[in-house]
Order: sequence, then structure tokens, then C-alpha cells
Amino acid sequence: MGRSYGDVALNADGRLVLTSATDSIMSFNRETGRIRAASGLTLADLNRVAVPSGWIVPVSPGTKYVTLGGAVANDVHGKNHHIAGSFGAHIVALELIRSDGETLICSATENAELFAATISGLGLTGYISWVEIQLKRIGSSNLHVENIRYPDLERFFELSEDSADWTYTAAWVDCFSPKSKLGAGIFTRARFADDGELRADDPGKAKRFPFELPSILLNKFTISTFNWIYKRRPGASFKGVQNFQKFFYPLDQIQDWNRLYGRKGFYQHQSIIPMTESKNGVTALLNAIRQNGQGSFLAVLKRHSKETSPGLNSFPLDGVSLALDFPNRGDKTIRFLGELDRIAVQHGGRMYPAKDSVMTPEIYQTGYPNWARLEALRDPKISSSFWRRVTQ
Amino acid sequence: MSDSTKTLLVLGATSAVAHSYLRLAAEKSLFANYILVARDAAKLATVEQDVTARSGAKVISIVANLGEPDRVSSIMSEIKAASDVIDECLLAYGALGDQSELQTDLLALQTLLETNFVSAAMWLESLAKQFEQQGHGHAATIGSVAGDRGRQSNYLYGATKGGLERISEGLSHRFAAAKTIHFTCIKPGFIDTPMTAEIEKSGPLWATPDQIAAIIHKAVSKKRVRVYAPWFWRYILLIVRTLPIPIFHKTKM
Repeated sequence: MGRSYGDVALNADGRLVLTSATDSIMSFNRETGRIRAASGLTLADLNRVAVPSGWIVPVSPGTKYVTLGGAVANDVHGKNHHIAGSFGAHIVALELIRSDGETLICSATENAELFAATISGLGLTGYISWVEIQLKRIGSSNLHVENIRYPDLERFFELSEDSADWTYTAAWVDCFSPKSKLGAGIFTRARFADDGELRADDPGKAKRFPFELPSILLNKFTISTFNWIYKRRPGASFKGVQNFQKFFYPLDQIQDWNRLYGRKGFYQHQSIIPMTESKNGVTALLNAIRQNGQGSFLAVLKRHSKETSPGLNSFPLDGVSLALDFPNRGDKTIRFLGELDRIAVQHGGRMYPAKDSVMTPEIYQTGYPNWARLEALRDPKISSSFWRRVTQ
Repeated sequence: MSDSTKTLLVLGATSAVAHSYLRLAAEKSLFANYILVARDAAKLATVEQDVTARSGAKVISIVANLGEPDRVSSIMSEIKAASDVIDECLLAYGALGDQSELQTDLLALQTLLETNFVSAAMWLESLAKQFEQQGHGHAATIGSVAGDRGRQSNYLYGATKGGLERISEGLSHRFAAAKTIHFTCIKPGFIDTPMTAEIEKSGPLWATPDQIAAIIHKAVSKKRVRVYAPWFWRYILLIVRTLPIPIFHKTKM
């Protein structure tokens, strides 16, 4: 779709293959929930077909405008990672076309090494022509949702433990909380209802962010004011039923929301810290953000469990991830992101390539010791700006 | 999956607009049976699988070259063997052709005329006969804004689509009293499809096949005789058609 945050889907001075026109479904068994489709199919379209029959994409990131191929290549995860693992854990098989003309079916039992390298392979192992996945059974398109305001990081960890049997969990964090309340925010947990309603239609027409906001309007004061209001809005302690589109994809309801960041745009940053170091690591990251004053609207904390996807270079691990976005203020922002990278790595963590634009080769290779296997299995005619940046 | 018992016939099912319309129909469970006809067997198999997966309905494909006038009767027999009743038909096949090539290569011109007009006219008459026998039916034909005035850049393609529109329009008139038999001509402008892959696309005039499919659905539901797709082409073409000849001849369009 061309909507990646960073440069994993860019290829400076080279060519790109846009797959959006190859979005046909090849087979869908409504009894078993197995679906095979061309790699350009978006999760939005997949759910439109699947949900009325009581099936849903097993793992979904925060946007539905993601293709199957992109979901495989980045081995995306969602709010149910602690229960369902990453997207790769639900792939039955996929077809890979290599630049030498070879067509390979890959699965856990066939071409297994290439299968593992392709899941989280950033599109480098060949052209993924189709993907077959196992959908998740649902008894409703609605979820029971609970939003809980919590006062500090300690409580976030407690809530994560207490909510381990909730299918979907994540927390929005207020980056401008005072030091005594570091990590305070709103914890969200949800599970599918069983009321039999199976609606796949959009929950209302998407609104469009009308213009590029002048960057002067985006500063510590406006973001902290936004956060103050966001924490106190009625929805912050919402308990009730929500349609899956509203729950999974709130940002998709605002078309072109990136215009909020003005002409210069923004950077994403997502790191994950292993469980043993997670309290120290997340505390250090949040402190760095506080001191720097470069607050983020959408800071999201999420407890992950051990990865069950076969992906060779998948991002998630048993630990806690922190996703952030920062307005682009040039070198200053890039230097700061480098600082966050170093803190994460010091605590045994790593960054998510799907959202990265600044990692150095050293930082990347420390976080992903299997990168050399991917390089060895990479299709010799395929590369990306990201890959050249982190391997050269 | 579907509460409907209706049958949709799509002539040129692998065209981007037809495929989008099939997806829309599948999602809304509009039909219980689909009959897809197209020339390219591999592409048709892809569309057949896609429609089957999305609709859960019965889908039959027939590989045939619709643009050959001699084949119309035999393909129609094959279709009738597959289904006694055709409730709705979308006529979506056609070729764009290269205007400068068509001006010099008469055989290429003959092929274009046979594909876009001669065979298509025969299809519409065959459908009219079928609708008359079964007592109801609705055929939607993809025309083009290019059919509204002969312009140097594409009057040959435009003539085929303009001619086809006259037939659709005439059939609407012929069956106006019947109330149960309808013909709709959809007239798109620029659509971003494989047919126009060679053309540089920019500006607000380009529509997606999904947008056109939604317009077809609405036009068929409302039993419209003629619809520009999207609507603004109606006004653009109003200007194009009414430009006085001395001014028109100074343009290059």
C-alpha cells in the first residue's frame, strides 16, 4: 500500500513493486476459517469478507490498511500478542517467487528455512505472491472493552498480570506525567463478545484531517494539554461494548491523520525490552522522553509474551514494548531517537524495523542476531533503503 | 450465503470494473448464481476463485472470445445451458485501441469495431430476446464519455461506444412500456485500470474501478437509462458537446 512509516518499503535509486492490484482471494473455507489470498489484499478487505461468516484476522496491527504481504514481511503484532503471538504464527503457507524465476511454496514443513526467513523478512527473500492463513473464530463483531486509568508504571505491570486472560490489552501512556507518576495512563483490555452480531461494515464515514497543521502548533504545551484532556475525557474510563473497527482501528477513522504533524511529518519509534529488564528499561525510556520534552501523542505500552511465530527476525519477545511518535524537528529528533535506541539496547532490547528510520547497523545487528541468515537467504536482486542502511 | 435467487451474467468478467462490480455484488449478497465470461482463461480463473470465496454463491465460468460476432450465438447457447434465467447482465468487455494505429491499420480498425460495437450490439439484442422470453431482465452496458462527440484524439473508439449507447438507449425506449425490462448505459471517464496502464495519471478526473462499480450498482437499482460516472462528466461533456464548431476545431482534444 506504500504506507510504511520508515524505509523498509523504500528503495532509493531502485524500483518498487506495488502489489495493490493483486488482491484476489483464491479460496476461503467458511467451515475451517482457512483463507488463501494474493498478497496485495488488505486486512480491511479480508475482514469485510470474513467477519460476516464469523471469522476475523487473527492478528492485526493498529491499522487495517496493511496488505497480507506487508503483514508477513514485518511479522506484525497486535494487542493480542501475549495470547496469539505475531501474524506469522497463523500462516499456514505462502508462495514465494524468486528473481531467478523459481516459485516456492513455503510452510513449516516445506522450505521451512525460507518460510522462517520470509516471515519478518522485510520483503527481501522474494516476491510473496499469496499467503494462506488460519482466521480466528468469533461469535460477534463486538468486543467487551474496559478502559482503566492507572497512576504509574508499577500499576501498569500489575494490570498486565491481572489481565493476562483478556485477549486484547495495551496501554496509552501520558509522556508528560510528573516523575512520581511516570508511565501513568489508560489501560485498555478487551475480549470478543458472544452476542451473534456479525457486522463488517464501517462504523461511519471516515473523517479527513483537513490540512497540514503548522508545526509551531505542535509543542510541549499543546501535547501535554491534549494528554491532560485525553486522560479526563469520558471514554478514559469506558466500560462497555465496542465494534471491532472502532476498537482496533481508531486512527483509520481519521483519514490523513498524519497531517497533524504538518509538512515535515513525524518519526515513529517502537522498542521492546525483555521482561527481566523491562521496568528499568521502560523507566529509562520514559525519563529520557520527559527530560527531552519531545512528547508523543500516542505512546503505547504493551506486555508481550514469548514469540510463537516462526519468523527468523521477528520484533516481539517476552517483554514490554513502547511505541512512540515524534514530530520531525530534523537532526535534533534523529539524535534523540538514537538516544532511545541506545537505552533500549542497554537493557537488552531492540527496535521494530517496520517503524524505524534511524537505527545504525550496530544497533540493528545487536538486536537481531539472525540478520545474517536473512542476508544469506535474501533474493540477490531485492534490497531496500532500510536493508542497505543497517547492513552496510 | 445469499437470500437472493438471482443470476448475474458478466460479459468481460476480467475487466477491472467488472471485477469490482462482482466484488460489490458478492459483498452485498445480491445474487445466488454468477456466470462469468471472458477470453483469458488464467485471469478468469482468478476472478472465479475470488467471486466464489467472497460470495459463497455458485459461480460458473465460460472461456470465450466475446468480441467475435460469429461466436455470439454459440456462447449464448452455452450461457443458457448454464442458467435458464438471466436476471441481470453487465456488458463490460471492450478494447481501447490506439487511435493513430487505427487510422492507418484498417484490419485493426475492423477488429475494434467488431469487438466494441458489432459483437456488443449482437449481445444486447440476444439479451433483449432472452429478457422478453423470461419476462424481465436488466442489462447494464459500459459506454464511455468518448462517445459523446467525435474528437481527433479517439473518435474511432468513441464511435464504437457512442453507437453502443444508441442501442442501449433504443432498447430502453423499446421496453419502456414493459416496466420489467431495463437497459442502462454507464459512461465513465478516466478509470485507473490495466486498460489505461500506459497513461500518466494525475488530477482529480481519474476514478477507481471500485467507484465506478458503486455507480453501476446505484444506476441499476434506480433503473436509470444513462449515467455518467462519476457525475461531473455530465457537465464536462455538456460543454464539449455544445462548443461551436469554429471554437471546437481550434482545440486538440
